[in-house]
Amino acid sequence: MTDNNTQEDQSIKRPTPKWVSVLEMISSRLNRIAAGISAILLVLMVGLILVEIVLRFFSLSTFMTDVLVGHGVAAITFLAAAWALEEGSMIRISAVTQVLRGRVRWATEAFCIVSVEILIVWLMYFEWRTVGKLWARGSTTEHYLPIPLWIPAAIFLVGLALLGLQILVRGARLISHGYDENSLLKL
Amino acid sequence: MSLVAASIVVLLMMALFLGAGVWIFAGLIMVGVGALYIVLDFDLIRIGTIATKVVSSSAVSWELAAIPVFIWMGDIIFRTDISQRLFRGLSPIVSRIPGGLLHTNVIGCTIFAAISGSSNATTATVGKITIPELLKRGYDLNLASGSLAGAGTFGLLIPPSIAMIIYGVLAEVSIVKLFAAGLVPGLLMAFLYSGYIIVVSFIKPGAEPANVEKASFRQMLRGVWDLVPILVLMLLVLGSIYSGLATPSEAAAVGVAVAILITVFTGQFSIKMIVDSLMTTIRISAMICLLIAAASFLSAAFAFMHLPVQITEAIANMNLSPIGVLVILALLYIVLGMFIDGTSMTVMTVPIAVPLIIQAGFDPIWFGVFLVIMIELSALTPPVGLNLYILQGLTTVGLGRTVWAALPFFLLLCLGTALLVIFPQLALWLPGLL
Amino acid sequence: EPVKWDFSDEYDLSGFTGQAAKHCIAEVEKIAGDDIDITYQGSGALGFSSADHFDAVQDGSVQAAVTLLTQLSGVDPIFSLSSLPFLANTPEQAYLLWQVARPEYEKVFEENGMKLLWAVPNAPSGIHAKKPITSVDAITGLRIRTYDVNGTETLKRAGAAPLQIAWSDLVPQLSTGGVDAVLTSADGGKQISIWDYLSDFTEVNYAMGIFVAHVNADAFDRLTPAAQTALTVTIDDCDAFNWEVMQKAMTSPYETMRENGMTITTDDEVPQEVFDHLREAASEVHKDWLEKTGERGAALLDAFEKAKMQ
Ligand code: NA
Ligand code: NA
Repeated sequence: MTDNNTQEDQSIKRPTPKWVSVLEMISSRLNRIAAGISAILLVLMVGLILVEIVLRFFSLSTFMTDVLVGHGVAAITFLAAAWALEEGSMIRISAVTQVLRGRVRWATEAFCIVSVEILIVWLMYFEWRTVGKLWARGSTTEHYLPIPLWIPAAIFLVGLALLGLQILVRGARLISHGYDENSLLKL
Repeated sequence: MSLVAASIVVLLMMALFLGAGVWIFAGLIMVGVGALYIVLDFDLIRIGTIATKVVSSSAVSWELAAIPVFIWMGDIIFRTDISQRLFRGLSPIVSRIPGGLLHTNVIGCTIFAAISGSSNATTATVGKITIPELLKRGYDLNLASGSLAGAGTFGLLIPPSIAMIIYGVLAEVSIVKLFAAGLVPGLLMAFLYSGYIIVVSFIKPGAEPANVEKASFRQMLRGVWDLVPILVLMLLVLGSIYSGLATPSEAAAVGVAVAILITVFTGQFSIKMIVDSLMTTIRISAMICLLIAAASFLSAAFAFMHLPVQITEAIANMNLSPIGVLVILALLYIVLGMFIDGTSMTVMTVPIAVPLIIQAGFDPIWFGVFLVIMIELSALTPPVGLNLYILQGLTTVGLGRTVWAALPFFLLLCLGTALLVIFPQLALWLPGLL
Repeated sequence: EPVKWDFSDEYDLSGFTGQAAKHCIAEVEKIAGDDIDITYQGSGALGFSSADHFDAVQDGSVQAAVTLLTQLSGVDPIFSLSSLPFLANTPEQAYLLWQVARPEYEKVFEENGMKLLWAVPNAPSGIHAKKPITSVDAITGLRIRTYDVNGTETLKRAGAAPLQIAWSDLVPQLSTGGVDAVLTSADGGKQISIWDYLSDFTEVNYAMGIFVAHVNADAFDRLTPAAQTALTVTIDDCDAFNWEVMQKAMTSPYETMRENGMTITTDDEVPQEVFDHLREAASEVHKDWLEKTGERGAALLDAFEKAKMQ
C-alpha cells in the first residue's frame, strides 16, 4: 500500500548474482523465524490477558500480566520489524521519489539505504554496550517474576541486527540490479 | 540557537530524510539525532545512549499492547463471512433511503468501528466488501469511494480506538472517558455523511442507479439476522469495558476470543486462517509500534531542545483568544497531517499541545476528540493519506480522483469539528455521566 | 555562559517530586548564580520513566533526575528498605531511616558513577475502602489494589485479595466494583475523586516510600566549585523542605474528602490488634529482605532501632 508505484526501470531484468541471493535467503529465513516467534508471543499475550480476566472473577491475579504483556509488545515489535520491512509494510513517503528517474532515483535510494544502515549499526553499538552492562550488573525488573533486564535489551539488539541485514540486502540489490521496487525483494 | 532557527533545522532535516523516502521510523530517529547534534551540540555517545534507551523502553507498554490485539481481531473478522454478512444484512435495510446502498459504507463503517480500534482496518475491511458490490450495481464511483474514505475514519472516533488509547497514555487522561467522549461526535459525523449522500442523490441524477429494488419487510428481517454475529461481537467488547469485566486495554483480547468463538460456531475456523491473520497482524503492528517508539525519541529530542516549552510560550505570548489557539492548532495539524501519519502526529504534538489547550481553558478529554478528528483529516489528505492509499488499491483509479472524491467528506469533517467547538457538550456530555 | 543541565522527572509540578525539584533548583541557582542553569523536565518529557533514571543518569544521558528508590531494588535489594511495610510509622521515623541508610545508598550510587542528593518522601499509604479498617475481619477478602510486590505479599498474608491493576485502569475498575479498596495515600485518593466510589479512608501507615535526586558524577565534577558547593550545601535544607511539604499534605486532603462525605479513621482509632495482624503479615516480607541483603541489611535495621531509641 506504500511502495505501490509501477514504473519499472530497464535495469531490473538482470539476473541476480549468487552472493546477493545467498544474502537474501539468509536474511529472509532469519526474518521469518523472528516473525514466527513474534506471532507465538502475541498468542501467549492474548491468552495471559484472558487468564487475568477470568482470575479476577475469583479475586485472584497473576500479579504480572501487565509487566509480561508490556515486554511482550516490545518483543513483537522489534522481532517482526525486519520481516515487515522485507514485506514492504514499513511505510515511507514515495511522493517525491516516484517522480524521479534514472540516476537521480538510484542515488536517492542509495542515500536512504546507506543512511539507514549507518543509523542501525550505530544504534547496535550502543545497545550492545547496554546488554553487556545489564548482564554484568544482573539488574532485574521490580516485579513478582523478576525479569533480567538484559533479555529485553538483547531482543532489541537482535531486532536491530535483522533490520541491518535486511537493509544490507537492499543495498546489494541496488548495486546488482539498479533501482527496483520492494515487491521484487520477495523470494 | 533561537526557536525559529531550531525549528527550521528540524523541518529541513525532516524534508530531507522523509522526502528522500527513508522509512519513516528511521527518518524520525535521524531527525532526532541530527537535532541533538546540530542544535544542542551533544556528543554522539550521549545521543546514541539516549536514542537506544528511549526507543527500547517506550515500546515496553501495557497500553500499547492493545494495538496488535485489536488489529488481530479486525483481521479475523475480515477473513470470515462476518464481514460479508455486514453488507448482506445492511443492504435491504437501507434500500428505501435515497442513496440506497451507498449508506452501507457509512453504517457499515459505524458498526465496524465499534469493534475495531483502527481506521485503516475499518476502511480496508468494509471497503473490500462494499466497493465491488456498489460499482457492480452502477453506483457513482466518486460517492462510493469518498463516503468510504470518510466513514472509514470512524474507526478512531467511535470507541474502541487505538488513537485514543495512545492519546490517553500520553496526556494522562482516562481512556474510558475518552472512549465515551468520541461516541456522540462519531454518530454526528455519520448523520452528516448520510445526509450528504441523501442530498446529492436528490440533486445529481445517476448518483444512484435507477432500478434499485426496494426490499420487502421480510427481507429486512433477514438482514437483521445477518447482522447478529457482528452485533454480538460489538455488545461483548463494549459490554466487557463498561461492565468492568475488562479494562479498555484488555477489551481487545475479549474481542479476539469472541471472534474466534464465532468462527468456530459458524464452521469457519481453521488453523491456516488463524496463522495467516497472525502474520498480517504482527507485520502491521510492528510497523505502527516501531513508529511510536521512534516518535517518542523525537519528542524526547524536542524536550531536550526545550521546544515544547518555547512553542507553548510563543503561542501564549501571542495572547490569542482560546478560539485563536484552537484555530492555530487546527491549521498546524492540517498541514502536518498532509505529511505525517496520525500516530506520529499524536505522539509528536501532544507534549506541546496539551499544556497549551489546558492553559486556554479547554478540557483535555474534549481535546482528545478534537485531536482524533484532526488525525482523521490527515488520513484524507495527500501526499501521505493512508485511507486514500487503501481506497486507491480498492478502486484502482488514480490518486488524484480519489482525493477529489474524498474532498466533500473532508469538508464535512471540518464542519463537524466546528460544531464540536461550538457545542463542546457533544463530546463532554457522555463522559460526564460516567 | 552557565552550564545547562536538565532534571528529569516522571511526574509533574503538581506532585511532591515536582514541588521538591522546583524548590531545590531555585535554591541551587540562588547560590551558584550564573554558574549553572537547571531546567526541570516533568511528565517524563525526556522519554525516561522513573525506573529508567538510574541508567540514564549513569550514562550521562541526562545530568540529574528524581527516582522512586524502591524501583531500584532490581539493581540492589538494599533500595527496598524505604518501602518495607510498617517499618517507619511516622514522618520523623521515615526521616531517621533515610538518614541512617543514606551512606549505604550513597555507596551504590557512587559505584555507578553518580552522586546522591536529597530525598522526597511519599505521604504514608492507608486503605481507601467501603468501611473503616478497624477489625481483622474488615481486611479478610478485601479486593484491594496494591502498588508493589511487598504490598501484594503483605496483604495476601493478611487475608485480603490484592489485585494488580494499572493506575490508568483503576477508575473503571472502581466504578464497576472490580476492586473495593485501594492502598494509597490520602492525596492519591483525592486525585481520582475516590469518594465517588468509596466511603472510608483508614490511616494504617503502611509505608512512606521515598524518591531520591541523583546526578551524574562526571557532569558534577565539570561544574565550577561554586556550583558544586551549591548542589551539596542545599541537601539538608531540601530534605527539610520536602518533609515539611509531605507532612502538610498528609492531612490536608482530609478536609476535601470529608466535604465529599468520606469518613477518615485516624491511626489512634484503629485497634492495636489490627496493626499487630498487619505487622505479622509483613514479617515475612522483612525476613525475605534480610535474606537478600544479609549483614548490610541487618546492620541498617539495628542502626535504625538504635536511632529511634535516642
Ligand atoms: Na473504533
Ligand atoms: Na495526510
